[in-house]
Amino acid sequence: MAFLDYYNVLGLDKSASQDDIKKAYRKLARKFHPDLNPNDESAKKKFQEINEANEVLTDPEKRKKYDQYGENWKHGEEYEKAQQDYARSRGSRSSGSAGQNPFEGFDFNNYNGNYDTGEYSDFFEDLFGSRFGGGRSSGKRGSYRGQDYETQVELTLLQASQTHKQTFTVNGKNIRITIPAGVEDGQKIRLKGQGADGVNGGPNGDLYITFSIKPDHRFNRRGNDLYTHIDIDLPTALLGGETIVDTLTGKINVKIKPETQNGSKIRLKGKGFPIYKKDGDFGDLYAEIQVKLPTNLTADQKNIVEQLADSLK
Amino acid sequence: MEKTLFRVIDICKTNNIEYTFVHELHSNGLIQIIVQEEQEYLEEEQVYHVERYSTWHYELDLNVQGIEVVSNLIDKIEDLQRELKALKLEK
Repeated sequence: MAFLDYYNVLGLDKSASQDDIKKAYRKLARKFHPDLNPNDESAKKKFQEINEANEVLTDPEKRKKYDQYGENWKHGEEYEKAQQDYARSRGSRSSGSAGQNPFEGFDFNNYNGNYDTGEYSDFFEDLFGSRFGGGRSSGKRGSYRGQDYETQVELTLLQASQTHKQTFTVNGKNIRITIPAGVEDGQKIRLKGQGADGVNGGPNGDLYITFSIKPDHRFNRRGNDLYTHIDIDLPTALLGGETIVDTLTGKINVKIKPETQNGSKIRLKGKGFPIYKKDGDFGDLYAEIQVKLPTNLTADQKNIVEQLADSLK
Repeated sequence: MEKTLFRVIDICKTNNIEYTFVHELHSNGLIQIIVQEEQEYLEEEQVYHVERYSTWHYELDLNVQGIEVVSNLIDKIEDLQRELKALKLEK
């Protein structure tokens, strides 16, 4: 898909607020919506552009990347990651301090990494395909596209972390699907043709499945990273030691540095959530340290603490 | 031929539409609701209309009166397009 200046498409400049974007989108959508412009291919194309612009600019994360990388925004994350990896390999703290930028001349247009160039277009095909098709197949009166079905599938965090198959019944139809590891709460997928049957030769409707991920008592998920708490005792916090941390796949031993502060976080690389459709890639697990203070101290122990307090003055 | 009927409450649920919106469409003569044994149903073609109108309402921010005006104008455009096509074929 050719590069689109999303701000230009919506007639806005880069300083536009979310409200400006919403208003501009609504105004243009009313003008170019395919329903309101029957048999007008140019309106349909224009509406696709407006929708794409709206999708990107109303999503703060996508907008940030778009503002930062412009035409190459879809590969921005990969670029950043590669740049960070390079900086690390050079022992540099900042990517710019290495002196030489290894990515000069890197052609994002030919980049063929994890971002499938077709992915975003598929997304729009998903978005527009069923709507532009409308309920009625073209030119054939009395022929209707089958109704779309929507359903919700509830998963535990553990289930969402593993690729697995699930069978469920939608309107009397049994459907078995493979749920890839890493699905997100609220993520919607479309199963083409799995909705109601078409009428008089019309195409079948689609089935939309929304995943709902139940909260987990051990882990909080933010994107692909997981967050948990670990309790350590005061001597371990002060003098260092080891503790056991629960991960999604089991327990691991973690070293605690001497003088670890309460509330500090330990990052366990690659022990987070599996990344959707990127086999073998995982987010990180962040364990927040909670120092448990001893209670019911004896007189001797209080005395020792007082001595410690005095020595720290 | 027996017509397929869809319960209004199911259509509202699957399309995330307010029940009152469907009733407003009905009150303004934009769709027809069939009542059978105290249950409200829509014929398949009416479901298509409800889905279309709900897109206009929720995505384009059109109220029911606006939907009625737009719907009438689109019918006229489609009639004119058909007429134009027929005239072109005659030539």
